[in-house]
Amino acid sequence: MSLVGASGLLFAALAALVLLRQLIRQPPIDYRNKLILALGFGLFPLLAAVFSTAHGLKTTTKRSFCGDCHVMSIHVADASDPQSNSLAARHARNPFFGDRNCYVCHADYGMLGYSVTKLNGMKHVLHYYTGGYLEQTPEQALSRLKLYKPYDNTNCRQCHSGLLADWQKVPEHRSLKTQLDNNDVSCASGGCHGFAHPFSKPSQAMDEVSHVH
Amino acid sequence: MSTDPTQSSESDRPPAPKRQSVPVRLRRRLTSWGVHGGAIIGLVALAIMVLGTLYPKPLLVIASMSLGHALGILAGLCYLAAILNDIGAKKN
Repeated sequence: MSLVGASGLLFAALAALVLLRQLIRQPPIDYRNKLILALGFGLFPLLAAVFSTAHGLKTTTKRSFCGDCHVMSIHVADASDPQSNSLAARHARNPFFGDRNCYVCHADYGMLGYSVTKLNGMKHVLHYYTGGYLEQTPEQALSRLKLYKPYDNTNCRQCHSGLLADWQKVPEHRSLKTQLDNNDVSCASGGCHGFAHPFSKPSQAMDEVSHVH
Repeated sequence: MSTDPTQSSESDRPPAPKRQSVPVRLRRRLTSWGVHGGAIIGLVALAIMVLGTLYPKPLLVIASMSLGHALGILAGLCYLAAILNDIGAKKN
């Protein structure tokens, strides 16, 4: 439990004490009691809401949170596997990504990126509970799991800017610069750096691999 | 002519408590209901927020940030209405 989460619990407990005192002891609603109740109805719950929301939002960026939907368990297991060589797993071993690797790679980095990411997360939950995923095994659901839009190279470029000499030395980077900028070619494609979750699209992966070779 | 000392005159009696009119009593009762109802709703809201913090599963976190907040606001509004009602009752 983080300090933020603990603070939320503390203020919730203080608010609950004030409200329970009113319900159990039923003191008269005089001037002094009104002030005490203002703490129990106003300040303490407000602080509890702020801290619990901050804690909740932080929790939603963790890999374990994404894995709470059972259809994501294969993705989570692969990303957590120290032996896996998938793009996702290699990034998850980097401390910058760590246990937040799903979020760091899949967050929208636009101006309203945070809100858009959270709204899309809500859509995921809605689809999970209403889209028939609950009755499916992770293996059955694997082929149905899709991104809402093609993966944006901008996300890769949060770290790999493409401006350093080492990046520009690679002939494929130079020749595909326009397509990479326009998102016509994905960094995480079979012929380039490989799929982030190769097990999720074996047929496409095989096609692209055979095409490249 | 002597008077009976056990019988007190009208002027000696303590004044009867002033009987409140029905609207004023109703308003005072509404204040009490508002505060108690708000407290119960507030406790439910706090419980949902605490659950979302202790067990951060998708549905609980969503409930904490939506239902928990909505009920918390409703509880605050109940308290506010009760206090405004109380002030109004005192003015009358």
